[in-house]
Amino acid sequence: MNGAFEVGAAALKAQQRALEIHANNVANVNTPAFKRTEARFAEVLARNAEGMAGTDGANAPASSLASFGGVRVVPGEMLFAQGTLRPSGNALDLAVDGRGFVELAGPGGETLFWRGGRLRVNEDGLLATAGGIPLHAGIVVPADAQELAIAQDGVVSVRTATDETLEIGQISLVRPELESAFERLDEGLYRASEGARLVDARPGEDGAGRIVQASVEQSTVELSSEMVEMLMVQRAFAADAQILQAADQLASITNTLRR
Amino acid sequence: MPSLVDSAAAILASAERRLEASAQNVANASTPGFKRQASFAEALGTAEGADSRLPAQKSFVDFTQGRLAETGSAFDLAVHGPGLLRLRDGDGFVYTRGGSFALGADGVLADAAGRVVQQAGGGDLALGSPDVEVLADGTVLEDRLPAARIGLYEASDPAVLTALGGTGFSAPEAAMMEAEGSQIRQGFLEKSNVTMSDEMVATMAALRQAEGGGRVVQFYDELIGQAITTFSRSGR
Repeated sequence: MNGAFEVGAAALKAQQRALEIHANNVANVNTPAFKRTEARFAEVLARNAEGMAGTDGANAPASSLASFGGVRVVPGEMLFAQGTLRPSGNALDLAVDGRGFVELAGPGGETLFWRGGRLRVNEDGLLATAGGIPLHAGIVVPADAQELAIAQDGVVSVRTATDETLEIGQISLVRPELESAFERLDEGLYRASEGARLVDARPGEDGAGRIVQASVEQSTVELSSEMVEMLMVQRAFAADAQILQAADQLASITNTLRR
Repeated sequence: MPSLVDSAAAILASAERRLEASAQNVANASTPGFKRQASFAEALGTAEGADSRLPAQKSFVDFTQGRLAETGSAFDLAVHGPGLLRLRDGDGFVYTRGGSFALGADGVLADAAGRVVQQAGGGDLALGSPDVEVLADGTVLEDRLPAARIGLYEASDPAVLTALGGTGFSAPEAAMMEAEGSQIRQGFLEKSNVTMSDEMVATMAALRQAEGGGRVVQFYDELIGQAITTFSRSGR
């Protein structure tokens, strides 16, 4: 069968994947601390990679036309950029201004990472995320706490009913050497991939950034640029469909050779 | 007479190849660093066993500079000018116009397919930290101190470069030399140099060519049919 069919079909699939990535970005335009992903394209060769770098240079130019395979979308990498911090007025909102992540003690002893969001006190009295995953620092909030204050260096203190101020712990940050070593999970959580190099850092040191209370880090998605990208995906999709149609016409010509 | 059918078959096959080339170009209209592949017919007398009157379909790579678009990612490299980056793919070398790279294990800079960026003068480029600055001539600064230089190469003759799909090229090592007048741009990606309208016109041309080939076959068929009926009638 005509190779343009496969190339066109691969291209349609890649554009659809790209549209999904942009749709996910747009859907999360109001998700706190969301980092946008980008769709990157790469060409596909029908010949496999091992044969390519070989010494078949003599006959390659003539045969290179037959080696087309279309296009694919490279798995999107999280693009780390600081989102704008917006004051929320809620003392239990936490944001990180810098490249640091808050460590969480996830289920099953797994360490998870978090860019901040809404805090709450969970059933065990520990300071936890809205999803109930306690912070790695294991900060116990006394039952009679009236007000919670988090300083820029991560020191958490409460004012008790008797108007005493108690220091109950410190939130520490970690900074990955490369953000791409982090795998994104649901609810703004991240998991470090194997072999990721992490740097322990106190807030405000080593570029980890400072902790900002009562603020929300906004999503890094820019609606206007996503819309432009989506338009481009749509046009590319239409062009690929045209190619597929042309391939179909070509097939119909060959099929009607014998009337 | 049968050569008429052969010619028609060759016309159809060449139309198919042309459409395939266009399909690949259109599919990669958004692939960074992609170079358009133009196909053309060449009367090739040397091919063994082939009828010397039939056109052979060949392609060449159009190395026109693509637009540079800013991405802001520190490991996105693009080349302004005719130069190419050298990547190590296993034991061999491939050349590209740049792309998105990432720090791999042991600090080497590799692309999504695991091909490692090479220094000027040879050897993998290894970085000590992810905070680097790349100057226009390829010099890599770590903590504001020059640490290495990314190699930029140029082919003595563009014809020695064999396209491996569109963004990668292979070439004999002897034919490559250090590029002059090319610059590396950090935080940029080169857009594909495919022009959609050209490809659509090429698609239409390929379709019409196929139609022509089809007409030749049908005409030949008609002619033979007529000949058979005429002669069989007169023979009776």
